[in-house]
Amino acid sequence: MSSSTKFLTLKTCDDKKFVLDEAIAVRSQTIKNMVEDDCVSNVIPLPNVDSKTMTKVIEYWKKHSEEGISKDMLMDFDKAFVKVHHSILHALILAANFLNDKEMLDMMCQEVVDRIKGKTPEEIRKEFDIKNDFTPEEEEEIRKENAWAFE
Amino acid sequence: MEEVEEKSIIELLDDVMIDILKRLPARSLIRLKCVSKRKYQLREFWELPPSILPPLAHLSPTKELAYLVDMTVGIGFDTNTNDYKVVRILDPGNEYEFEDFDNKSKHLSKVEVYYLSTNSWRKVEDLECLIDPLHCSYVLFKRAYHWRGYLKEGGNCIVTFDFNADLFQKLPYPEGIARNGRESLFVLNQTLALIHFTVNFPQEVLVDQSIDIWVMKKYGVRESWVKELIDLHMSCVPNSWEAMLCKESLISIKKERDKWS
Repeated sequence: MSSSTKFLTLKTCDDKKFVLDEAIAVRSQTIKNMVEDDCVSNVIPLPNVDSKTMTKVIEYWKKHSEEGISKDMLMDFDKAFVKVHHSILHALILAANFLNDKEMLDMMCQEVVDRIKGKTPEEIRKEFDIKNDFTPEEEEEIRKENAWAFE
Repeated sequence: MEEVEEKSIIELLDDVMIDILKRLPARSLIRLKCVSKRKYQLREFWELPPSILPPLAHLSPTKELAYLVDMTVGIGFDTNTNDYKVVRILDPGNEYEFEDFDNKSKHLSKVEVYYLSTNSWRKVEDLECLIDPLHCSYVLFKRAYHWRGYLKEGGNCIVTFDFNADLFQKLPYPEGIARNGRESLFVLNQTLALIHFTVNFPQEVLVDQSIDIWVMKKYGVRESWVKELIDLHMSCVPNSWEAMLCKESLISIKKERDKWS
């Protein structure tokens, strides 16, 4: 990094502050726009992101900003990064969406897709802790209507 | 994080959710719909552009769109590529005599396939047969359209279009079918079958005692066509003939006279 390294302070919704190299923080298009519009005099509030999620986001940003890191290493990192409980995945998607980090959002969405693909409704329920609110009759009917999807 | 825990992964912002749904094959979308009625109100996504839509239940796998005198159109959904396709078969013209079978084979149908995802038509050049719209009995079987066709070199065939494989194929026709009748394709006990009606010209009255049922025991194998007329359990009524076939081998044909007179 050059001597003119600037740092930004991000404040999450639970009032935790994160000091981050601007060059890394601008992976977020939202923050980048703020910086470019010169409206970041002191602290950037992130009202939609909590500190636990932001820690994960910064971990991802830092890894992806590492100099000389190989593609394979990044792939391994990403693979491990998305293997989290669905509640964290959910929070990360909302954060990536708010921060407008397309690359990260894309990766998280793909993880949701992969967790749904090829699964039966029961398996999807289990994966995402979803309660089955169909009566047996309703379920039978909806399955009948869409029988081809269960072949 | 408690608030987040309560929420389902699917209750994401609309544009994020749409992005996820777009990447799922139709089969998964339907299964998703069956997970929970409260959380998976995917109905609003039904209103998205058709290119990312799963097939509607009644549109699956294929559905005839229209039947015109000079054109046959079929719409179907490719569950592999999440793409709607339309097959259009154009009549080469009325140059042939109505019942001149030999002459028919000299005219070839113009066949085109439309792909919604690319908004483009593909001309099918190598089919080399005639799918006669006037006698175009079709059936949907194994995710493919099946039409009756005439080979360029003469003789009958069954032309199929598989929406997932995006492939036209020709299947053999049973041999030894009398020429004095009409045929209609249908599905009998999960097998491709052909019903042959004897028609009394000139009134074209369908006579019920002269019905032959041919069954293709092994899909695609010429030798496996067997003539049978027993234990009818219809899974599909031969279309366009309004044939009503009952379970106890009872066959009655309802004919709309004004259609043929």
